[in-house]
Amino acid sequence: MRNKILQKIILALLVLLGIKTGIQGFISTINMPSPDVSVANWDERAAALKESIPFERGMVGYISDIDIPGVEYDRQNLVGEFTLTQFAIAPIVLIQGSDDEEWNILSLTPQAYEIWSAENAQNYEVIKFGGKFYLAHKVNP
Amino acid sequence: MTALLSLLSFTLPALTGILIVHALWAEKNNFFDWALKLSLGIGIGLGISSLLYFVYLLFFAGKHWFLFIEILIFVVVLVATRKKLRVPVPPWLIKNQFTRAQTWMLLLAGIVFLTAFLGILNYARQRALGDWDAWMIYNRAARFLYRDPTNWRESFPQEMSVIFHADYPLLLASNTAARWEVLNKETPYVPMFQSVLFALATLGLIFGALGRFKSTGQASLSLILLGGVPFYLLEGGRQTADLPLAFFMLATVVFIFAYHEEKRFSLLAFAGFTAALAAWTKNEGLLFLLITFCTADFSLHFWHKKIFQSALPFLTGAILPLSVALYFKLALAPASEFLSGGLATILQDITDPARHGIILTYFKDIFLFSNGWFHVGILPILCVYFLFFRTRAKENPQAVFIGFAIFTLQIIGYYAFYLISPYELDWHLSSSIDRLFIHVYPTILFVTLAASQTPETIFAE
Repeated sequence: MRNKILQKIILALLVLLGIKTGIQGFISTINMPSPDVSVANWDERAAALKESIPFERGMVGYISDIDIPGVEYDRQNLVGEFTLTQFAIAPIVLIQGSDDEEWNILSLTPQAYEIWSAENAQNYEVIKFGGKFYLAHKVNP
Repeated sequence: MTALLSLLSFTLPALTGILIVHALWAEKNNFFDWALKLSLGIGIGLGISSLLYFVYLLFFAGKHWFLFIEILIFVVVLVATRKKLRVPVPPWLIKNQFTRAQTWMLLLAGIVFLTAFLGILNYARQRALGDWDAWMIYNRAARFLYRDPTNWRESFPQEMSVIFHADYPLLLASNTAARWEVLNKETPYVPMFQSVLFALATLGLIFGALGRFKSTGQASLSLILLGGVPFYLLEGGRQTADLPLAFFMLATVVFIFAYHEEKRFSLLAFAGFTAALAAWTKNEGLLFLLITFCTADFSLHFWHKKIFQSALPFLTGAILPLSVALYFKLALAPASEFLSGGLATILQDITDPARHGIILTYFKDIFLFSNGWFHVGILPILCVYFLFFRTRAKENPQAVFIGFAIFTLQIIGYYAFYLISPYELDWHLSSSIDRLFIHVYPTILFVTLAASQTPETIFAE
């Protein structure tokens, strides 16, 4: 008999907690922050850059502040930017940390770009895009 | 308008799947049967559509006939199942004799379903492009297929950074690309609706299956304990492959239960089909397929010495999705990072007590303390529930045993994969273990409730 009462209490508790959590979960989604704008903005910026690459599919180098010695960076942010750029320019494949491809995307802060440019400018034609984006076309292999 | 068209683009695959499942259980037409058939049909239909698009790419890449092929397949299925459609009893005309307690349980479950549904929609709407893994892995892969279909085979280069997981199976990506192809437009609504459909189908599946195998009260309880756990509505809108994988794992176990109840080999073939669709959804699904095949078959052999009788239909059902998954893995996908370290490294990892300690700590946290209430995880709560409520009448003990064996072995398999993980172990565990919980939870819940007394029994006295 005691067991039966205990069973009823457990069952009722589970049902009530399930309902409470379900309602709480729903309420928590009403005003949650959305990262969509930043993803969409990045997508738009990188899409403009993609239009300047003269092929639909292939390999493109990708350089960010991580690859420039002496520049401070936030690793997590830069990995995020790299993944967003890859998402945007699909089906082109980004080769991270390389500027050896014929076409290369540079996602660099002004300081990092200056350092990169000082060493490499003579080998590339560089087009500046919005944000941190540059497109570097290798002219001297 | 794009949103509506995107939703409509799922109609053909969903109807095709529903027709197929309906043909399997044409004579079953009560409220729960329809919940079961609609849910299974939607998931299976999306699986078929994904396989179909992949095969279509193999032969007709760059052509724009896919919609016509889907229509053709639908018509073929319609003609093949037309005799089964002559059971003209719509679900709303079937009288369900619910007791007062059952009506209350249904009402409470309805509240949870409604809040879960609205929450999933809300989450999906506010993350229209999906969460991090969704756009980085699945929606990215869909873009690789859709944007240049003629050269789609080049979508999985070895040179691509491993963080994009180009070796992941293509169920979601292929289906997304197929819908975009049908719409002739790349829109985020497609992966968004796909995610929501799988979330609703999983809820409908557990509800329908327990309503069919156990009782109205048990079905209602399953909705409350699935839709009412904290992770569910977030997962429903994330657009990742974890909930679809959970759906196919649950569907497989449900078919195994149905087989043990009805003894029809066609049900084992469906179990093979959904298990292989799990392998086409995520790499973890390959492990699940292997475990299910061995477990289901071994137990049948053990009890009835019918190993070939059961293996054959299971393998027949699995053959198409498994062939596609294996072709993708062996001929197209880049090598997986797992096993890349060589035998010596793997042996070193397996025998390293520190690695066992780290993994056990994470497993303890996720399996003992997460997704429950008052700092007690939902799994210990289910364990206690099972101990207090397990049924003394031996209902379908073989299927219950197989169900328990499948998810236990799956969890052990995950443990083994972490042990040989080539990644930094802490990072790998912290970034993925909650998803592994999602894979197994619906199945654990289903098996636990299938093996327990129903609310009707408990409140009977």
